[in-house]
Amino acid sequence: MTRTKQPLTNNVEMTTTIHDTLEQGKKTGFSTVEAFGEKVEREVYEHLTNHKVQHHTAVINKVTARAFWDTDDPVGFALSKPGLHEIKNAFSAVYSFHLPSGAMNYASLLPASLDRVEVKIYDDTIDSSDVSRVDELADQVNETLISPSFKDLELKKICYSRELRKVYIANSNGLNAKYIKTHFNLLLTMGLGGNLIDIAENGAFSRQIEPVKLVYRAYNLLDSLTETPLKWGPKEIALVLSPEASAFILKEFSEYFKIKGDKKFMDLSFPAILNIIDDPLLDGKAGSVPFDDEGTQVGEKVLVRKGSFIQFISDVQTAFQNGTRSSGNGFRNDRSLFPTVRFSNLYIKPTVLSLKNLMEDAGKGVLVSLLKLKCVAKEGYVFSAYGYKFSGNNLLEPVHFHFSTTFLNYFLHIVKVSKEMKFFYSTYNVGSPYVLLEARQKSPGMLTI
Amino acid sequence: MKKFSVDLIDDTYSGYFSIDSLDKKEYTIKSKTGILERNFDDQWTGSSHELTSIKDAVEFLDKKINLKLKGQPGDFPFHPAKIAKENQYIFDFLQDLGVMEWKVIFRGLRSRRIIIKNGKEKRTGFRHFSILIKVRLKDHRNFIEVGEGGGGGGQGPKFNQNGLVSRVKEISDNHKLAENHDVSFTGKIPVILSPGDGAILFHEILGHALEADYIYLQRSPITVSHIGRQIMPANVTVVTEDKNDSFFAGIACDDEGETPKSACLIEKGILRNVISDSFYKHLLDLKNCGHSRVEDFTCLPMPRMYALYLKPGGCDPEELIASTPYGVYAREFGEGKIYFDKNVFYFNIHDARLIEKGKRTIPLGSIMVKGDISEVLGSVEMVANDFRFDKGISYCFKNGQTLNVRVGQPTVKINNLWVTSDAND
Repeated sequence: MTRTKQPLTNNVEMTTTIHDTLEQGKKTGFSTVEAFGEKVEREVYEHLTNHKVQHHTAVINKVTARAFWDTDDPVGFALSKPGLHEIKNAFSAVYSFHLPSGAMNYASLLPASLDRVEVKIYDDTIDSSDVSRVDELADQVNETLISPSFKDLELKKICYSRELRKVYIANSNGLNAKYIKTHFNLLLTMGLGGNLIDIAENGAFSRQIEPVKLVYRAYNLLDSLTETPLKWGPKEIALVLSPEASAFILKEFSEYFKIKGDKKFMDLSFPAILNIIDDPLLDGKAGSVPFDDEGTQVGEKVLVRKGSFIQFISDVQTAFQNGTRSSGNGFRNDRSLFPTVRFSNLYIKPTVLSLKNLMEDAGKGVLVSLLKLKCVAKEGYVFSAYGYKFSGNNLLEPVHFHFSTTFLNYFLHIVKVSKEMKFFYSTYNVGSPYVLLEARQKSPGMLTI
Repeated sequence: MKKFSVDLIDDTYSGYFSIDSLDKKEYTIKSKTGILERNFDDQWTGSSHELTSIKDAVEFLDKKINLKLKGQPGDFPFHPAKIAKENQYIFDFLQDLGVMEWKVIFRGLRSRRIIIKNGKEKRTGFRHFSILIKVRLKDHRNFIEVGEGGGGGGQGPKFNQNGLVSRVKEISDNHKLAENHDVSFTGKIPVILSPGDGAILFHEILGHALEADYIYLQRSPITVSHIGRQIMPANVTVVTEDKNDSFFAGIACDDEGETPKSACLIEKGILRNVISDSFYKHLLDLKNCGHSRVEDFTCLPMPRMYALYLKPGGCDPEELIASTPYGVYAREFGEGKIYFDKNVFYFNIHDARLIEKGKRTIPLGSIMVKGDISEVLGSVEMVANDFRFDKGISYCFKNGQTLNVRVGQPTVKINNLWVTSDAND
């Protein structure tokens, strides 16, 4: 990675800053202090058709602190590249706010140590790749577009980024840990017949970025965009959701798998084919980490096993509120300083069946390639769906329709799951194979699951 | 396009304080200083660096800059204990309201920027305080949000507590009353948007459609060839500047150091200008720029709106209602979704009333309006004379960056909108 010139002052090591944060927090009078540091080096290339637009590098050094009194809610701050003076001032500022209620807090539940785990999330080629990589990717896309299969498909914009992220977490309970991670992203804006689509590929390794596959996906999605409404005789319709469509719904419904979710789900039985997992230790995945942003040990979490609800995910705070232990899902984002509950790599576990098996079993139905959330209504989520009618293994004409569903109804109506797995990254990683569902026709163009 | 360089020194201090129905409190502060260096020579090359202070930035740039900026982070008047004490009335009211849950969020932001373009220095400043009351009514899935914001006085955030409480109470009562009525709509009907915050709809469907990057990528239904042509009815004039509004008074230029040559976007329905930065100005051969914005120094600038005002017309607001045999009056506005590729938008209205025979009648609670973007732009039938600014908490989210924006309008009547309380329509 191209190293840009470094700031002239205060170029201290992050480990020193973390140490200073813990020390100053205790000196200020807090009983427990947590320090989270990030060093990020990011490089972005953006090209419009026939125009190079941007080459941008960013170097970000940030420290976030969370400080606890013996009782009551914690306070916190985030500072860019702070020195001792700035850290001291920030602790003084937040210390002045104390509205004691005597309520117990979760400071004692912050982890004191971590076991070492192996997860492959660092690509050492990040230093050697340069601007030629984006030209190479653009060439591969343009070469693919020459094929008559992609007639009228246009590349409007290409954006490629690579990021090196070093994460540090320490607290006054004794924890001190760090990891290093790389992230590569290719975002294409493609156009076909007046429609545009943004389509991206993400991974911890540069070699995971495959522009040709992105072009195929873009074409399939854009080609399915039609206003032709679905006309269907029988009341029952078999829907096969693409990994993209299925992952989209899984993400929309993922809130239900957080600890604040309705505990009545614990007693429910979904179809036995259904296994839902959150696994931060998958090699090479964009959502993988060796520990969460609170330093909690992570591992594979089976949320639904053979249709039975097994567990919710949580961070330290929500686990404390519910009298349990953190599942290792406390992650920070730019908007909130304190960790919030978030998934790492959430996915529906694939089976041995192929897409062909699913379509043959269904006989006739609709293969849904793309979904958009229309709204959340009283009766549930309403999705706008684009796809193709199919008969056996043959895809027929593209169709458009809407369907409404709820968290419960959706998962209760999954009949089969395929083996072709694909992850999609946005804030966290969500993956799914193809899934076969049973839907009912409520009115022309409107289905319900 | 000539070579040039722009350096943006960004110094932002923000505070967040929240309290909820379980008496859970959160107080955090953020201090962020850094620099975004950019050079244009056929393409942009740039770099961002996080720094400890503006002094660091000056040393980093090795340029002569006057360091005297007003105020230090500690001087920023955002003190949670004081805010909590001053707003106890709101917390007590919410506690007695009998809702499922509530949360009140206070935010304070101070942003100071120095923009150096080709060696010439300009400064901008923005200060904003806001309160957001989130209430989840019994048997409701989503929160209703009521808030207000502004620059605050020298003492810091002051809010119209009675006004906020009245709005929450009215929305809550209207939702309860709406449960007794089962109203369904068929076909397109007129919707009257209340003055002020209603303009967020124009921000979404008109403002974003006029952003030069969306125009260049053909995401927008508007093209450069529309400039000089009628795209809205002659009663519509839309501008980006209002001398009576102090909301963005400290913003003397955009984040590239440019100011728009003209503040007029739509003049009597004719498209005069689009919203652009200098890059897309060059690419699309436009006359105007001055709308390059960036959330902070770590992000990439792009064409964005600051303010968008729909100028007042000549009608009395009551005339708009009286002229409507059957329609909807929209009062409190939620979020929307715009699909330029499908030429369609959806917008949530948190508090609406039915209009029957020219009179406001029963409350409808929350509804959703849907429309065809191009058709709706051409369907502004009446514009009243009661112009108001929004309540000061309008935000815009684009490509991962969130910015404060400002809107304003008088009461406006739009025909040809689908209205539904049943989202399956």
